[in-house]
Formats: sequence, structure tokens, C-alpha cells
Amino acid sequence: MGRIKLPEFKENEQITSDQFNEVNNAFQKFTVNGENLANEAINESMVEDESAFGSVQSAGVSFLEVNPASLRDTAHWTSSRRNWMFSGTSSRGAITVPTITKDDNVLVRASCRLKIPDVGAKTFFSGRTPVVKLMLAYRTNVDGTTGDDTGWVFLNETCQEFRMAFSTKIPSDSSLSQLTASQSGASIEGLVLESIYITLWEDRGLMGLSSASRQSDVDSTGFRKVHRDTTDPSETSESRYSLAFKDHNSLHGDFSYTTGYLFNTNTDITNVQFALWGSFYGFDPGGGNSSAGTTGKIRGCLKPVFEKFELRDFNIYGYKIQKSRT
Amino acid sequence: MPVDPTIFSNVSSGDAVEAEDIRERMLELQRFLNGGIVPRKAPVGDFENSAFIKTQHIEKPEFYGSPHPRVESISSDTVFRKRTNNRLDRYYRHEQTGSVLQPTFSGASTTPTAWQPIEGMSSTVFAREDCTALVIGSFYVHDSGGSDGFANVDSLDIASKRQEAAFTRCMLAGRIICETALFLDKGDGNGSVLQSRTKRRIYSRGEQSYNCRRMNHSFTIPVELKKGENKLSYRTYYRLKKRDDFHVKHIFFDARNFVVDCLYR
Repeated sequence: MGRIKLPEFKENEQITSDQFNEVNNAFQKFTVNGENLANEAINESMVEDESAFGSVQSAGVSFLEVNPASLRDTAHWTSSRRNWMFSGTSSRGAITVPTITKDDNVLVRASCRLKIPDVGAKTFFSGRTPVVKLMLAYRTNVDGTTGDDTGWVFLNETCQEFRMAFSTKIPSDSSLSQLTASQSGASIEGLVLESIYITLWEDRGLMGLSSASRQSDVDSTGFRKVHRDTTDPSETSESRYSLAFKDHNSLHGDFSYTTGYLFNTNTDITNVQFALWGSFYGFDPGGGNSSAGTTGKIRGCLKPVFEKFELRDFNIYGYKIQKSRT
Repeated sequence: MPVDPTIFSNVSSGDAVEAEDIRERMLELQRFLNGGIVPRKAPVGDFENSAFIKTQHIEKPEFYGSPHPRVESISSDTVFRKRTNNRLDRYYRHEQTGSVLQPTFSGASTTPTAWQPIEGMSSTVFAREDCTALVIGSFYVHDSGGSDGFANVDSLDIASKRQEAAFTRCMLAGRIICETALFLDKGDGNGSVLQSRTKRRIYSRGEQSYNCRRMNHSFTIPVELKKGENKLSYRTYYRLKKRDDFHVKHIFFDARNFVVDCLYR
């Protein structure tokens, strides 16, 4: 019985034992239930700190260069230590959420801007652009002796893959354009390029204009010998064929990565650590040979190389959602 | 445990109730009410066996609709904005003429007034106390109307000109035409402060040649709010190199979402 109703004792009236016992019985049978509590009995002022949400753990890095190993094998892309996103232990951007019970959840979110550089993957016809993968990983009961690359469990639900459909080319003079040849009067190994031997350029493996002819302008004909396949038209020296100029290419991939994950464990743990991991696969230069030419020579560019990608404006945070506390 | 039945014992007709007896009963009642109510565990206890706390005992969340949709509850508040992927809901900028030119793009980054709020991605949040708020947003964006400047080049034109037109479009695809970022004004006198880790960059499509530049962007970040009014807005800065720049024209922001979760307890 949750509600007590006591008999009324009036002045100058005798209190009988039954009336007295009625008071006794009311208290003996008293129990607490919904009838005892006013609507305002449980309200905001009675909610303790961190009764629902634990403190927020967050980390962020403005700029990260990620240069993991390039693996074509998508099944084992996580196996290499070099896939670890952050090389420095102090700035790897991991967060550690402390004291997790089996009833707790941890909601973790992360976002960043992913820049995949345009390295000229389509310089050669069969070249392929790389696929970059990002995903969250966690490990539990982390202490000071835990290595940076051990014990991680990948959260496949947070994996995203990014790829650019297009790519520019590393500039070269090997346009195989007869117009180019006729306008410039260039020659290779003594052959006039507008001759029938022009079709043999590729067979001969000697593609491109001579350095001297490249720099002799023929504007009077309306033709520009500074080929418009370079992203830096002001550059006429041989250095524009260098792979170092790939940053001038225009088709960089610039993506947003945003993810969230609700972590739950069925056991009590000391802490749980989250971090973002990344790698790439699938890059194919499509041709070229790093020994077939040297940078800046008339043979054009070297073999395109995909070395790294960038993460900017990275941040990650997580907070506990506590079911109950005693 | 409930009141002691030996103290709260019944009396029989004709018994005299002494003052001490009354006092003991009052003391026992005092013990019970002053922290003596305990959950029921066999064999004794005062709480009912079944759950008894109902909605009426809990302060229920308050739901508010237009124009400031939000949910206010005890432990947290959620403020949200949504714009569908409908052209009538589109937010657009087109600053072919009359734009404010900044000396450099990086210079604009430090000038909050150069950034204009994106409709549907701003909110004024009233925080009941200092708290952490989680801000989440997404939007679908692309440019339109820009030109490569070779409008009259047809298939019969000389190859080098067509090549140059294509080259121009390719170069435009690498041009950043605007940048977006979250700004927070806590009402502390510091004005709107850029939250740098929410920056996103929008590239030109190169006269609509590269539809891969039509993209969805998203972000999520925790921010610290002050008690009282806090203004959150996701803004854009349109990058126009010069007044007669015909390479870029319109920026369209379509489907947009903006959520602010305030965590109190």
C-alpha cells in the first residue's frame, strides 16, 4: 500500500483500540510506489553528473601525411605495420576512453578531409588510380607497455573506399602529334618528325622533342610549343617533366570521411582506445620504367609513383553512454 | 526495512498507551522516513517488487517544431536542421559580379564576415549550462554555369584549340572555388570563431565536364558551449579570383543536414 489514510481523532472523543491499531496497520503495511511520488519528485536537479554521458575524449590533427605500403592484395592490406596511419607516437590522434563496464556503450565519431594526390596515374594508357581505404580500429586494456601496432581490431562497419575516376598525365613532349612535329620542325635522332617514321616513335622508345626545339617558340603560326598538357605552362625547362611536378596536376581527389560507431563490450575493461587507420591499393602506373629515362630528358617522365595521401582537419571523439551506476 | 512491527504493535481494548510507547513509535517512524526506506530484498523491503516509476515521475522531453526544431530533455538537447534534395530547397551563391574580393584565400580565412552562412545549416543553441556539444553536418554541393572560354570551338576547329579548351576544363577541375567551415559564437565577446577541423573544399567541375566533382561532404566535431546563447553556423566562402572571372559562376548546396547534440549529464 503506497498511500496512507489515517483516522481522524476528534477533541474530547475517546480513542478506541481499533482506531489506534488502524494507525499502526497503515504504517506496518506501508510500501513505496508511484502513489508516493509527486510528478516533480524525479527531475533534472536530481540527475547526477555523468549519469548518462561520460566525459568526451577527443583528439585532432590538422595535417597528416600517410605513406603506408602499397598493397595490391586487398585481403591483407592490414597486415603491414606501415599501414599504421600515424608514424609518431605522440601525434597519432588516438583517443582512450577509460573504465568501461559491461553495461556501457561508447559512441565514437571521426571525420577528416582526405586528399588523394593526382600523380598522373593515366600517363600511360593502362594506368589505374589508387583506392584509399580508411576505417576505425580499437583495442582494449591499453597500458604504457602496449605497442602502437598490436592488438588492434578493425571495425569493418566504418570502412570507406575512395577513388578518383580521372587523372591527368605527367607532362611530356611525346604527344605523337604530327602537327607538333610539322610546326616545330623538331627532329629526333636526325629524323624529321613529319616523315613516315613518325609512326615509329613508340617502337623506337624515343618520345619527345629535343630540349632545344621545345624552347624555340613559334607563336607566329599560332601554335604553342609549350604543350598544354602540363599544369604549369610557365615552365619551359626540362624540370617540368619531373615527378616532383605532380603537385601541379589538377585532378586531386578531395573527399570527406565521416563515420560513427557504437562500441559495446560484454565485460568490464580498463579502457578502450580508438584510432583511424588507412591504406591504399590498386595503383597501377600502367607502363613506364624508372630506368628508361631520367628526369627532365626528352624521353619524358619517369614511371608514375603513388607514395602517399593526406588527411587534413582530422578529428576523433568518443564518449561513454552509461546504462546505470550504483 | 519497514517500520518495526514490535514497536508498532497493536493494542487491545482497555490497554493504557503510555507516553513512552507513543515516543517509541514516533522515533521508529522518524527512522523509517529519514533514509530508512530501502529496496525490497527478500524477505523484507519497502519498494514494490515490480517497477513503479512511470512517465509522470520523469520530466519528459519537450519537442519543438518549426521554426526552431529541437528536442529538450534532462540529460541532453538535440537541435536539428534538414533540407531535402529538392531544387526548391537549394541554397545557391552566384557572385559573377559585385563580389567582395579578398587579397588571398588564406586572408579570407581570418575574416569571418567573408563567410556566409549556408541556409539550413545554422542554429542558435541555448545551453542550460556549460556543456560539450557534438556538431554533425552533411551537404551535397557542386558548381554550375562556369565556362572554359572556348564556347565556339566545334569539332571542325583545329586540334590545338580543342585541346586547349579541354586543358582549360581539366585545369578548372583542380581549382578550389569555395571553402566551407563551422563557426561558433559563444557570446563571450570573441565573435564567430572558425572551427578549423571542419573545413571542406569545393572544386570546380570544369564547365560541367567532371561530374565526379559533384560531391557529398560531411563533418563531425565536438565543441564546448557556454551557458546561454551560442550561435553555430556552417558557412561558405566563395572564391572568385577577379570580377570578370567567367570560369566559375554558381555554387549549389542541395541536400543538407545539421545536428547539434548538447550533452549535459
